[in-house]
Amino acid sequence: MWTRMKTLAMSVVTIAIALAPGVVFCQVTVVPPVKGNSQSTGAVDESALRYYAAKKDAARVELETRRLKRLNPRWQPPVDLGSAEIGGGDEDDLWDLFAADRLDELQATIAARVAAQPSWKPSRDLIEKIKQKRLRDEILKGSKAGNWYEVSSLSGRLNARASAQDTELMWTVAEGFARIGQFDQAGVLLASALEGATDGPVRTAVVLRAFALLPFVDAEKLLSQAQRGPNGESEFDAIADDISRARISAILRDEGGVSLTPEQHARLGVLGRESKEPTYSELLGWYALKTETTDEAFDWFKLSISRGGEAMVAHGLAQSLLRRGQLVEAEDVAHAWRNPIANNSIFFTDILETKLTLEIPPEIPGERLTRYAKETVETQSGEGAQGLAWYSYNSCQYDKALEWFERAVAWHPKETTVYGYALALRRLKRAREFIEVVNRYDGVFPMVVGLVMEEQQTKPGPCDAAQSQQPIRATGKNANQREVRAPEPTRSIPRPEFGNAVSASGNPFVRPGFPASVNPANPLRFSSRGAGVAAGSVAGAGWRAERPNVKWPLVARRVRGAIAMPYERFGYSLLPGIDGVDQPETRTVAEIPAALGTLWSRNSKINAANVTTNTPANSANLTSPRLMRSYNTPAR
Amino acid sequence: MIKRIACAFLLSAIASMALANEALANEAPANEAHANEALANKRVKVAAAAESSRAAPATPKLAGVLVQNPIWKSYRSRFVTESGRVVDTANAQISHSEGQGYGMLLAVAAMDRDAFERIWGWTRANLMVRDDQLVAWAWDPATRPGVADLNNATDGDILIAWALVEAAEAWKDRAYAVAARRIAVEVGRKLIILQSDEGMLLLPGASGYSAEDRSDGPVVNLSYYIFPAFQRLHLAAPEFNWAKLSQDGLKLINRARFGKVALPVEWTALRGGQPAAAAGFPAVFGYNAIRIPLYMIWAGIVGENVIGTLVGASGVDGSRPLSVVDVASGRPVEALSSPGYSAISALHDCAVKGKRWPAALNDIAPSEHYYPATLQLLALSASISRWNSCGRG
Repeated sequence: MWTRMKTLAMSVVTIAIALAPGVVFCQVTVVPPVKGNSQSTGAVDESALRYYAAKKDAARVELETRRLKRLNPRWQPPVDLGSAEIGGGDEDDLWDLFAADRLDELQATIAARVAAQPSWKPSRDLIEKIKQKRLRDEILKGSKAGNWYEVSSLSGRLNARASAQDTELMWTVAEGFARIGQFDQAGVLLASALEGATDGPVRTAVVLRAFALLPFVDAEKLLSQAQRGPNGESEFDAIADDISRARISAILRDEGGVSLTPEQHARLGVLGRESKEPTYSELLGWYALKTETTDEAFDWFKLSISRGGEAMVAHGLAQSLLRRGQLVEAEDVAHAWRNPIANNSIFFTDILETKLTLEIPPEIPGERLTRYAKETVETQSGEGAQGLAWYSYNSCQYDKALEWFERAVAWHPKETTVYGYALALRRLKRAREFIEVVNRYDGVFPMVVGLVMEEQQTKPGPCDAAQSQQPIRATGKNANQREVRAPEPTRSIPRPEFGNAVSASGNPFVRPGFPASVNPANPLRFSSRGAGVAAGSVAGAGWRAERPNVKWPLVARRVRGAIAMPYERFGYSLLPGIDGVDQPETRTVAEIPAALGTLWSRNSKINAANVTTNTPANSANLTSPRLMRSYNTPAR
Repeated sequence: MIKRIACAFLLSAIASMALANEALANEAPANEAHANEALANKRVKVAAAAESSRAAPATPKLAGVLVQNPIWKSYRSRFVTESGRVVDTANAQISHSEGQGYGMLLAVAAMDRDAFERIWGWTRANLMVRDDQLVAWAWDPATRPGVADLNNATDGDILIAWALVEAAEAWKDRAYAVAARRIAVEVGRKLIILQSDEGMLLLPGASGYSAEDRSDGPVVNLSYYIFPAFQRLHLAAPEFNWAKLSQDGLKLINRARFGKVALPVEWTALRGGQPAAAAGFPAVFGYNAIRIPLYMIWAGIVGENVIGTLVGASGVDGSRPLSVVDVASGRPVEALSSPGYSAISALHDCAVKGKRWPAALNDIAPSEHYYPATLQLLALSASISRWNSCGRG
């Protein structure tokens, strides 16, 4: 309805203009007509009024004042109305260009005129207005490009009074401040924009923007600026549901000072059930997970999906299923929605991985494994690969295990993964590769190095027992479903103690070939990508040449952060490492708690305060070698 | 004071405004109930639009800005091996997570997927040996073992995660998106201190910099605040407030300025709510810190109220020669004379004055080492992606 009135009023004005020759209007604020911008602000345009006042046309001033008041009930005529003066008529054409937004042409015209008539100067007003308009354009452009720092910086040059009525400009600048985290500033601007806006839908839009950009408690303050109806109802009652949605979102983001009353929760529940959109039910699902009402969460996410909820909703559903112990269903949901967001793929991979890496693995149906393998390869997941590798290994399928371990070590060379890789190589009697791996991780992975040490002969595992005590089961289609049971208890015959036996030569290494010189680089790569990625395909062309083969040391040097190597207790020492570090770390990376105040430490059961810090003495002299860039120009 | 108000309003302007309003009028049906619903729909759309744009600000695309550019081929042939190792030629030919990350970023910029795969492949195979998702930072080709330190260096992890985000988008590859998320979440989880006197903080490494690990801790490295990366990491890990981390980092940079020329040092101690140069590190603004203005400008942080006097103090605005500065005395200790560093000034001039990119910086100088060459390509990429109007000289 308001649009109809406005159109009518504009038509009146249009006719009036058509009748008056050579008419000029004042423009106090500039709201360029923007095509298709349904958020046009309808700022009160006092141009005509000021013009009439300047012309001392009292009758027209009266008419125009009444017209403006009709359109904008809260508007008051400006106090400086009578003091307006028309500038020199010789600027009419310049102002025409200004109003038409042809600023480049305008500035060119000015320059030309100054050149032609040295005594002529453009009015201060025109210059100032051009500046402000340019600034406005820049701000809007910056906003579209997402240059929020620029937007907030430019806003400092705005003429405060002139821009106060310009709602679009105000909320653009407010967004700039909000996006860079200056919420106080943003709040002030939005409050100001609300103050200056008279049009109902525009005011509502400002408030909605505030809830989208500001912390909830800051946006909520704007509601006090609501216009009240005769029975005290607020103009913003109509968006109460949007505000509730913002409220629950704020709680999910852990914003302080926001809570949900049971009534508000109930109201959201009604919205969730009744709405045709998935948003409310999704939010309620996350809220239920947060408040640990898992069954409710499950119901809400299911509902949200049925209303069109997508990947993130599916993620919530999968989470709920997992918490209810429904692993297979959780996996199915995550798998179905693995494409749109990484969360679901990661979730899928990690759910089954825990089962796959059990020492005595459970029975897992072939299709489930096939699906898992496919996803592992598609996402090049080291976690998935090592899961399948261990599963294969503990199911006594060493060839398969080796294949998966190779990929796992290419993508995810953690200690247990490399250890498994070495074990598989040893099982398959690939002695050369086995010893190469052990040498490669000397100094880093004590578990791996331990494989060549006398006292760490691995005890017989279920596969050995199975092989020695039971006939091998049928191969073929049931091969990967062969049952593996722990060995039957035998008569209790003591085994010789391994203990601290040392061989006659005093050498604790039982395997030949350690230590040996090896290239420290891990050569494993696996990619499902297409052509053009083959390593070494184009020898030398376009790449830096590596130095030719050099002899690498036989003695490991200390890796900062690594724990002691198993041979150290036999008196073998390591070379000092980076920054001269020569003591082993006493805790593995996994055992070191993250700093207090991080999310990890909040969630972790290992609290740093409870762990005695036992860091090596020289860590206090922690100088980063990265400081030691030496960029002396080489002698040439 | 008499205000001279001279104005003009073209007939056509009014007409077009009327037209716009006419269009609006046609949108809203005559029936009031329907009008309300239309309005409600509009509101939902506004709210939804605002909601969906809640994520961090848009950043200009990096992918493709160096495509077909010979400078990339030059960089690659000088600093990247076939196996994907990025070589720090001035630093005993070692590799580090930072270099791998830079290499991955520049490969995406050049749309060189082969190079990206090789560099990422090398990174995973050799540096991801920690029992978490972070990247061991240092690697030496001549020692046993190759890894020199199991600690991570947070700028390396951030660069790698950012590059994977860009690559996932550029090549529509899920594998990169999955990897990016794993790393970014780990950074958010283990390396961001959520609340402190200075707001959110970014720890430079998982070990050795926290308040528990150092008597002057927490210690931060201000050149690890990679502002353009923060604008993209929400794509991998939206649950962390990268925008706030950015903002708090900027505030910290402005607060932690010392000495005669008010420059930040690199390693900054924050114990007791008072920033100070961290013990055991040289209190200089040098090789590492020169990236602070680079990252800021790259992220579009160019306004005087944010980058302020930093460009003048550092010389990036051309007011003084670039050098390693002893912050307390303000005296230059060593010139940053390699041409690559001047690319940061060129970027500044492009961003702030619209000056054309100097032709000389379209090639890597003959004896240039990895680090200044890398900064040069990064600055060039930033100028093209955000200020294409600066052109190439």
